[in-house]
Amino acid sequence: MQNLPLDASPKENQGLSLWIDGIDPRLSLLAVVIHAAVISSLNALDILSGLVFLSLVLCFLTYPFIPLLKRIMAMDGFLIFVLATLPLSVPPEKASATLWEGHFFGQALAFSETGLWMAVTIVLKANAILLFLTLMLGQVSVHKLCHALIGIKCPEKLVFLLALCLRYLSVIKQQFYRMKTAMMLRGFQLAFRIQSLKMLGFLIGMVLVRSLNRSERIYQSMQCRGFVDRLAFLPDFYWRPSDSLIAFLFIMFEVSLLGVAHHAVFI
Amino acid sequence: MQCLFECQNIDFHYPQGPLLFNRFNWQLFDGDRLGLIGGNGAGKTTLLHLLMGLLVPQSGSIVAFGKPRAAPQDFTEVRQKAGLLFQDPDDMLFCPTVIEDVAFGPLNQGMDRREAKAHSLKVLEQLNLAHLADRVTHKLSGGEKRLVSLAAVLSMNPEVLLLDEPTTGLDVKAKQRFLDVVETLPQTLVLISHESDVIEQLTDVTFDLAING
Repeated sequence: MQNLPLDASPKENQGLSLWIDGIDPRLSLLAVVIHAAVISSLNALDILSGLVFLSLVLCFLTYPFIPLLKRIMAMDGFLIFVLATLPLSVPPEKASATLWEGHFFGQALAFSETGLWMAVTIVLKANAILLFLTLMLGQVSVHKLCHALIGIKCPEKLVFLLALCLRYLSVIKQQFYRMKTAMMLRGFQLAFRIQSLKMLGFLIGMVLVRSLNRSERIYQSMQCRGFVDRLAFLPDFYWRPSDSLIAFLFIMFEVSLLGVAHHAVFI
Repeated sequence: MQCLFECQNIDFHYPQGPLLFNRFNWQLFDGDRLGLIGGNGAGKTTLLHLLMGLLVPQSGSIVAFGKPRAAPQDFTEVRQKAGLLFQDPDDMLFCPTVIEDVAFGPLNQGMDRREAKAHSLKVLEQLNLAHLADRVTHKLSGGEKRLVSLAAVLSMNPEVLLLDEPTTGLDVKAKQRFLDVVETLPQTLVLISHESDVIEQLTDVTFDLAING
């Protein structure tokens, strides 16, 4: 659980990544939440494209190229479905907005321009938010993220649940791979055969059983150390003057973004 | 000498399992350093879990620190006074950082955060582990995990230590370091181990569950 699943290890000794790493994680987290809310309210394609471009440039300055590209592709893989299906399911606003009409298994289908622009907007919004998230929180370790969540007054129980999930994900993963290796060493091959699928089912079942056993043992060990319902986090934060300056500049940026976007809508 | 734990005519078996303890009687006195031995499945870990109230015997009674303990809430006090070190340190280190894990017990004992943190740092210093305080628990080595989970138990100032195969899987150096630390501890000790050198170095007397269980 050393790093976030969305993380790509930052470039070492890079000015920008060091600078972002120095920001108070509470501020980074709040900035991501606010930025996501602001972006969700935008619909102007030029502003959204500008934001995606800006985040992309900053991300490429902060993280190595290949891992970041893989991450972006993984995210956009899902969005391809939106691009492909939304124009088919959204009816065109006016007749001229229909780009293509046809029949598919006797069903009338129309590819509408309205739907296409809607899909493009969604793709741009998702990319702008996720790139900013990667930029601000990609190099924040999980324990710092948990502390930051406590710092912005998230319920401790939820944060504890997140911390436990991330803590034991790697342990369960190791267990899974150990059992899989043992199966491979005894000649198991993954194929689309009943026997092979049955064995895969056993493997997944065993992982679940062992995870359940482990969760019982963890609860027992918590009980042995006096656990009733109180959860412990000991966060350390250092809000520096530069954080105040960043927070101020960020708020100005978001406000002007909203201002420009609304102006654009009125035009 | 004060009797800390006593099992009186304990019967215990797991669901659908064979009878593990049959009218079992056993005592642990203050100052004892006892090695608990016996083959796999003899009930060594089960005995420690019975003493801590994690398992409930089908019949018989457990007397701990002078009082009979039956209901789950009776064991709250037992868990304050006896520290159980689990076989797998991954089961014990569930907090994000080492210092939070060590402070988990003291916080549950009612210390405030600052007090608990200072106390935990002191315990880590005593075990020469202060440099690990801010490390993420899952990135520790096997030996470090074992020592940190011992620190997590010791931070509650227990009178009795129950150690369940604490040196299994450790390399020679990590094992020796662990043994040297435990050897200096003043607490009453119950130690489960399959390694005769460990039993010899840390305990004065052994109890074979395969014969007596």
